[in-house]
Amino acid sequence: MPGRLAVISIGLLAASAAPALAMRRSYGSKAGARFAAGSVLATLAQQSLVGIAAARKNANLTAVDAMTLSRGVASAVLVGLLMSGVRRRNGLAGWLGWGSLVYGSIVCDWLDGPIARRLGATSELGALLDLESDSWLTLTAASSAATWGGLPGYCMAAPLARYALMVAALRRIPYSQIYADEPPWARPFGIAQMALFTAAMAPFGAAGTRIAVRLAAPLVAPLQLVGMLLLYRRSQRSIPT
Amino acid sequence: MTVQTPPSRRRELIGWTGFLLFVAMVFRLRRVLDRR
Repeated sequence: MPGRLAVISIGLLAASAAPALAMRRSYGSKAGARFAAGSVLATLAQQSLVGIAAARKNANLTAVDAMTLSRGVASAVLVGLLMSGVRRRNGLAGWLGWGSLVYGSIVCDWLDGPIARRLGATSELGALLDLESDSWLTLTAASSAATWGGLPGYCMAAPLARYALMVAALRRIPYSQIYADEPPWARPFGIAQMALFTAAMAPFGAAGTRIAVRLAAPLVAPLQLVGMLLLYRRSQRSIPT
Repeated sequence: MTVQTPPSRRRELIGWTGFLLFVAMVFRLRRVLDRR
């Protein structure tokens, strides 16, 4: 098991080497080094938690899990960009951040589940990794969109609240029960929030995109926060008395 | 302070069109994978 975790970790670290070199070439050695430090730390933190989760569940990581975890590269790139100090929506940094977000939130998020089902490789660990890597990507995307995408800081409230509410819920019910019965509106809410971050960070976004983002942010961000609170309340109602 | 040159309207349109086509492609692939 540690063998597979190590192989996947090396693969994820190797995947963020090319962006670090490109950052160094475009924005100087200081920005490149900060980017590398941020992305390596984010990847190592993620993989340590994955190791703990896999050991607790006594489960093996599969090739599909590796795909799910590759979403961590997208988050690591966003953390690296935040650490680098480069605040550009266009240019290499902007495209790198936006491309990572699109890979993580669309390609990886939409395809890992169907691939797992087709290969018969669905597992409890895979579901956990999917949910957690999605939340981590959402938080890093929110930070990026607020830092260099021009979104107001309150757009980070819902992604942060997700973690606070999860910790609060874990005091009374097990993790597996918190997200066991999500209502149908939860997914569209999440998609709307990610669409807002994607638009805010779009390197080709001009006046039309900026207007759309400015109009959507005060609606989408509070709605998502309310959604988080409703999900929390729902999870608490499921506690047997 | 970082100065950012805003992209043109034409670039914006091309960017969003390409993005939507890409999203449609991934969505279709998802449906194909889920088909039994």
